[in-house]
Amino acid sequence: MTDPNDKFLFLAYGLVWIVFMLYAWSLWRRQARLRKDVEEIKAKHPDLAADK
Amino acid sequence: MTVHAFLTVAWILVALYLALIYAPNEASQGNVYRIMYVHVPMGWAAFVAYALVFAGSVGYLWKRSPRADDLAASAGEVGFIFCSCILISGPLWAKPIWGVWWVWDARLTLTFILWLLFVSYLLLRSFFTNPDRSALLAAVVGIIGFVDVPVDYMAIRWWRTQHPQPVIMGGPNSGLPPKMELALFVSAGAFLCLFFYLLRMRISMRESEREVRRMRRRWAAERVTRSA
Repeated sequence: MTDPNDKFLFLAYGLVWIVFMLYAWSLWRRQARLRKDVEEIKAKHPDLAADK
Repeated sequence: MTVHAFLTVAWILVALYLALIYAPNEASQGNVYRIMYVHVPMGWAAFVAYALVFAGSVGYLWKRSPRADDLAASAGEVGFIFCSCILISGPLWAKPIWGVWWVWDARLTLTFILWLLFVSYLLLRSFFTNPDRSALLAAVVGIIGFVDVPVDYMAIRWWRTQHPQPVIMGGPNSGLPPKMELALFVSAGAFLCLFFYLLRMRISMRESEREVRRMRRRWAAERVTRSA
């Protein structure tokens, strides 16, 4: 790989995968926080969780 | 969800192998053409995303179903990520091949408009505190904005553009050598698998958000009843 244009290839793959990984990580974090919220509310008020 | 995550990661690894090692070099572009294996599949995924925004918006206006709104809102957010990545990878491919980062031809302009539609859709949803009002207005934008998708898809067939003509389903002179075609289809599958994984995750988050809101509302109502 000595082509001077290879840097564009590495940059494109690198940036795209960084964006996807950051987005997936932000979703996992937000999901974990929400799960914690639901569990906390359910633990404090079991009657609320039981009736949908 | 876990099986879907493992499948997505495995599929992405196979797609990367095919795109970066298995597929041969392109005669005139060299290695840099391999950007196609992320750029084109992300474009297809962004079209699918906006089609789901449209379908969810129609569903919401028709039945006022929160699930349809969840689909539209989630597809809007995930689609925004895919469309943003198209606007990152596209100029990085254009610069070494065309000598410029960007041109305002039909395909690039319509894709930029698609990105603006995703941005407006998400901004509109975040402006209103009333979820019903936000869902209603977002649904209207989701439906009107869908006009851009078929025109963007057809732009390289209808007009002569700086952007290359279609390599798949582009008529008698289009097509790719078998190894390149295999790598492109496997990459497309990998990106669609990733898209649906992120979409399912986002939809599940919206369901949890609704659950938290419901429990908090009931808690507040019970406190009012007790104090009265």
